[in-house]
Amino acid sequence: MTGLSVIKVGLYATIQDLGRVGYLGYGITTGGAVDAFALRCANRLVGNTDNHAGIEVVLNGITLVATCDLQLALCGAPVTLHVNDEQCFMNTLVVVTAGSTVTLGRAIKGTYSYLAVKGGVSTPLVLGSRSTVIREGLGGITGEALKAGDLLPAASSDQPPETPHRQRHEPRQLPNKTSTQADTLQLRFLPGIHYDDVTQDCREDLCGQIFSISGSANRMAIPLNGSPVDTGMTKLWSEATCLGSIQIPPDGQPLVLMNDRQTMGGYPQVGVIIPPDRVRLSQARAGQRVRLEALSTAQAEQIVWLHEHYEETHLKALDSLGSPAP
Amino acid sequence: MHLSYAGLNGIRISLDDAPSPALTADLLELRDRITSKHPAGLTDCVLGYRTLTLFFDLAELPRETLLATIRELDGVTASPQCRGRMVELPVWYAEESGHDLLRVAEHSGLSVQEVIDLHSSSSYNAYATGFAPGFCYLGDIPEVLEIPRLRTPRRIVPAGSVAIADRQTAVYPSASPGGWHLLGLCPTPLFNLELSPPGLIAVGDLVTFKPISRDEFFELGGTLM
Repeated sequence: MTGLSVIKVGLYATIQDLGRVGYLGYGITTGGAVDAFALRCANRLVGNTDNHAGIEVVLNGITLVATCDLQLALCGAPVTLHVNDEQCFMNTLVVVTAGSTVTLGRAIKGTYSYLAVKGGVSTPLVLGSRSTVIREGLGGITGEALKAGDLLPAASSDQPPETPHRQRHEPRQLPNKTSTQADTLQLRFLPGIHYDDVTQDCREDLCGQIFSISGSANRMAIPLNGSPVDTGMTKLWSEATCLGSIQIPPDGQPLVLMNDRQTMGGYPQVGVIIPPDRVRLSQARAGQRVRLEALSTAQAEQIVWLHEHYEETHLKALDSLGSPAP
Repeated sequence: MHLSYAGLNGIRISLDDAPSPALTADLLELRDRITSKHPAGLTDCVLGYRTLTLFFDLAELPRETLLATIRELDGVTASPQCRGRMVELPVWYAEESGHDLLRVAEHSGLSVQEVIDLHSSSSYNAYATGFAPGFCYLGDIPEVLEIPRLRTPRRIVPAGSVAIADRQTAVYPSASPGGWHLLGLCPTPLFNLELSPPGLIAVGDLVTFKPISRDEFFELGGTLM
């Protein structure tokens, strides 16, 4: 078996594709790349389809050794990328020979970066996906985060690299959803679920203050710290949660539910953050200031439509780079 | 019937009545009628105690089309014969396998044997699936057994644990943290990726528990953590 051998993980890294879709009714969450656009860009750069599995790297990098010739691409939160001692660009194809060390450094800003490999990381499919959800023990290598000693199977490249042309193309200018701490991040949401059941005061508290992102954010949820929001609601019957739901537990500190959320929840959910703002939130770091803003359906639809169109345009422009994966 | 948004690609249907097996049957009837009308485009249907949340692919199923289907079904109820499957699960009830049996007995003012007899003589409606893959919320347990959750959840509850909290009971499909009171162990795997669907219990099923001995537990493939 050949592919990428894990030498060292900085903080946390997992195998992710676009998620395990269609099993929420069985209590199985979707998982999947938090910044799906970044994974899709990396995949397109190596000639993969969007749903090929890659490595999601959180904040502090990873060191890998290629055990065969491979073609890679790195997108998402900006990090330094070295192949052996040579610094390489993100957002373009990187050709590596067997035995090369691939080192991702600490993220310069943002949180999630994605390393795609031509042909995809071929860990076992579990219910149609390779995405790792640690709480459920599903996907990746036996349902766990990557650790030193893991070997990630990946097919040897069909085109032997023609060194010294490690990077044949200029890096692309790709939009990314990282932000600087100076901005106050706007989190626009579509009101729903229990929005009509909470008090007017609760809605004002929610949209009338600046929250900051808690240090305990992870792939399950991103807690927001602020003055407590009282929903005025008591015990609820458990029901479905949504990706991007703003959930308010009894302590009044809102949680934004993310890819690895539990499929059912028993706390009020007042709305769902629109996808582009949810990804910006996940790429932001602890301490980042955020403000919630309710949208009408028409506004939300228009923003999301425009955003998807914008992303598709960028993705289409990447298709010409790599040759198709097997 | 109340409809609300669950994001741009989700609709939540909420019914007014208190949770009951009949309400679960009505929600399942709604789900089945909606999925048969729209075989493509719906990605997930999630039942809660009194809600049905539908997630769909906006490119394949316009929201207004789905909403029109749902509104036509307002007031639809399940026929009384429409019942889920019967699922019988073996349970080794003992202090060795159910660390909270004594506490539950004390709390309810019953003997340990009476707790076991009561818990294993009722049938339970599967209200919802969630918390973990294969975890099903079953109820209602006899009122005398009602007990609040542990103040401090256990860090690890063994796989197969049969537990109660409030008016609910459940089997933990895999080892996980948990705040329910443990009565025994079930040797039958509740979640198996080789099965389709992967969960043994589905919402709407009727579940009963059959007491077995320690020996039978191990003969049926049970293991202690």
